[in-house]
Amino acid sequence: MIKDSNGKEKDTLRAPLRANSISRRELLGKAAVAAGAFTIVPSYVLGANASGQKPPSEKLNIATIGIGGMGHSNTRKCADAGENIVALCDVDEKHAAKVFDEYPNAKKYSDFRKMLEEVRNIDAVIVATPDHTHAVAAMMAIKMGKHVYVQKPLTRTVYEARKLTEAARQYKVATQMGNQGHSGEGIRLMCEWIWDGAIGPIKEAHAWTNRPVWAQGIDRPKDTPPVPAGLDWDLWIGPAPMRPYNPVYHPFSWRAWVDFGCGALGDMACHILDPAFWALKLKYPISVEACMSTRMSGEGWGKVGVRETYPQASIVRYKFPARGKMPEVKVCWYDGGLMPARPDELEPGRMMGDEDGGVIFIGEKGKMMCGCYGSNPRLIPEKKMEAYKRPPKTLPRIKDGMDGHEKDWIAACKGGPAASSNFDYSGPFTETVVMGNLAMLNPNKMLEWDGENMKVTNDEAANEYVNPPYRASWTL
Amino acid sequence: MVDARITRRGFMTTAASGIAAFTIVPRDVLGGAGFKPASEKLNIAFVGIGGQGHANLKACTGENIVALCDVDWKYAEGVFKEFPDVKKYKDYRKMLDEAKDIDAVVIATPDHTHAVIAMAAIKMGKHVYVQKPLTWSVEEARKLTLAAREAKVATQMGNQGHSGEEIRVLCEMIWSGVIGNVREVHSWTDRPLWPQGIAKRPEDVQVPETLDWDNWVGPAPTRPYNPVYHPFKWRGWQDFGTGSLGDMGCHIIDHAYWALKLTAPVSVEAYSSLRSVKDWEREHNKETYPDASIVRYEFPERDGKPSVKLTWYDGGLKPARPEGLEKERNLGANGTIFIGDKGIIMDNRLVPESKMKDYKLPSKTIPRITTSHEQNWINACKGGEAACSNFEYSGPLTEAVLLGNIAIRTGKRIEWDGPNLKITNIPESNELLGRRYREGWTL
Repeated sequence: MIKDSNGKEKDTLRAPLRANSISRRELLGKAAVAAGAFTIVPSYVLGANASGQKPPSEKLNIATIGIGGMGHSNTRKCADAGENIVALCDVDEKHAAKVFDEYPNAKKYSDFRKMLEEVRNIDAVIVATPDHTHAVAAMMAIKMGKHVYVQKPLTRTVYEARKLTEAARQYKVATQMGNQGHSGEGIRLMCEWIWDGAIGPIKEAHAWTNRPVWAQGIDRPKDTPPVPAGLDWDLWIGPAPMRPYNPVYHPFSWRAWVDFGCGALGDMACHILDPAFWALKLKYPISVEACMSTRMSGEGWGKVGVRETYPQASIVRYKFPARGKMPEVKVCWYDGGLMPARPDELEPGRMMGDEDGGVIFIGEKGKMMCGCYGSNPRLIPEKKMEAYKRPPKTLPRIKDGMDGHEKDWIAACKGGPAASSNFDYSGPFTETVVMGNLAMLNPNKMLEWDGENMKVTNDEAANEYVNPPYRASWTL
Repeated sequence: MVDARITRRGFMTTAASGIAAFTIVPRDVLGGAGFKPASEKLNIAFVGIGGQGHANLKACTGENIVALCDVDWKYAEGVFKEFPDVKKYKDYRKMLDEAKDIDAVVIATPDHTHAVIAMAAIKMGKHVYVQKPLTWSVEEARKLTLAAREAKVATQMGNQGHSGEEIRVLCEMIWSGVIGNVREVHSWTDRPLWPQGIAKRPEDVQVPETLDWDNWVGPAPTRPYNPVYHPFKWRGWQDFGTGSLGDMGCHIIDHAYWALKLTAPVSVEAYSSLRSVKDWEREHNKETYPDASIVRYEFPERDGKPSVKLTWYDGGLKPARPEGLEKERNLGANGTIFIGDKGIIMDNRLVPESKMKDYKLPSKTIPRITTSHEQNWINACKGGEAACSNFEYSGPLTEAVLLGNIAIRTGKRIEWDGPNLKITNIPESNELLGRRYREGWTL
């Protein structure tokens, strides 16, 4: 955050992309000298139909990669907004059949690489594949100068989030992570009230989710059923280590598996911790520590699922350094049925958060609570809420709130202000969320974290998960 | 409903019209064993000898071992061989009927049969040593405590740490005020080390000939035999065991319970790892305890001391590191953190360790037990002082511990009226305080 001439904090994330005065030519020069492990060639050099920024009057040509789940609703919202859906890609023909049928004019692909190479008029790409293929798909699109909307968590690993954020910045493409709550009213109220000092300085926040709603804490299945017709398993695996197909991975429960997903934390913290990350102006934690449920094998006495899946339930404890006038803060995450202690201020019988989860902020002068996505923000008890004189709404609102998250990105693709959860925000946020998984994979000890350098400083082995190697033939 | 000062006549009336009908006949009425002089040897019988009972047995060999009982003669075979001349039984009821010379009984069966066996012994005026947790249910703990008081027998729960030096030093430290008033306690264990969070009962398996399965099931609802229950793994199954909390709470919460002089909690709530049924569907475990739980107790003010929030973690979960803990130190597999107004104690030491260096331990005002926990009870059986973890102490401790299991099983916050043995806010959960015994079994 920077301050404007009145000393008021200004949300730099809303600054228009165009404010950045680097020309595409200059950018190319910088990219060429950058010591990055990847080469950036702007789309116009490649001879693609360089997207640039279309004027609002023109339609975007959008392609979606991964259409069987969230990608379906993301695509529909873009279509409803009047944009062209020019290509759809999914590795599972059957699972995607209904969505393919909805867009008979869109070209159909199973390999996103082929799609991006063949369909030259794509301006923007939605990536809604399993977590482990977000980065490779989004990076290829960014390198071709295409705008990207990527489902949360932005990436599976800390390193991927960093690289994607850097690439998007260098390429000046419009970006958005699919944490739609970030476009909502609730998170803005949380920010405004906390910045107004409604509960004083905050040294502690507790967040939780009801996820996982799929099995975790399990071992790799031993059976190897045949790959269903229409599924390209090799492409589904993508950059992850190869393993035999099993329905426990696809279509739904890949989130549980360390090689593919990010567990309950990765699934929901990008929504639930979002108000904490924004309102408390967090970036990288200085330490993280996790403990988790262990499952004992019925046959032997060993523990089940260790490092294969995330646990059934976990507690992740982050510590963030002081930021400006804000003191050091501890943020504690609970999942799998676990919840923080019920605040004494909460009226008997009143639900903590909502069905999906929530956050409790503990300030020196009071407590605040919200549900998932920052929804229903309240000071507690309710009589404190009633007595609270709300500050003016200083943060810009997104048209249609959470429902306008895709449109917010579309506007950015057409030269509007950067989208609400563009990678300059959601990249570091994702790094912080998924680095919690480093702690879950190395539980019961405090890992000290050097965020800038993406490194656990007191436990070399824990760094294994910062950037695990890709399968041969896959690069970022 | 139940008052400690109640008269015997009044008590009988209350019991008959109230919770359940059970009859207590004090030992002196029966002309039972009484308190033998220290010079004489006790005649001790053991029920459940395959596990912890074996260790208890070895600690009692200075006395006469007069009878051994186990429902599984194969599992008990090794122990039987150690005592070839001692009479062997499969059914404790037969043992108590036949072996008239028994003065005292050590009970180390699975949790669900502690109460019926101990009660039978107490009613016959015999002293009892019962493994922890004292009972399977809250109601059983209350009844056993009252029965032992009525019968004036010597009692001990098998939480042997209660005889140790550590818990005494801890009490003396806290009572000295070194960390001020304590309002927050965190206790944890790495248990379960056996499977929990299992959805379904396994298929039937042929009962081994050496096992009396019907007696193993005892007062619990019957079900077909399977090795997932016996031996050892019964702890995870709600009908038989008491989970991680029951297994370890009586050791670990013992520290806070004594040092903070806790009484009945006023409320308990729990959150547990939920079992995945299928995608988007999860459930509270109904057959077994969950893999991991957090249980939050609130204890009321006592003697001018502030109310205490005690949080229990199991199954791999742990509390946050206490302020000031050296960053290279981690929390152990089991432990307790006391957070006082003026300081913190973890694992019986001030935190950080630098505070411990110059700290002079308070004088040892609590009498030390220089014998084994079992011998401490044997001395009580012979007319010595009450054993350190006699039921007047360990009964209420067990009640508090087991209330946590009701919170785990309901997934709800329960408000507790300790004196009246009643959950006040969720009437239907009172069913979990005890259970209807299988036909032919009574307390």
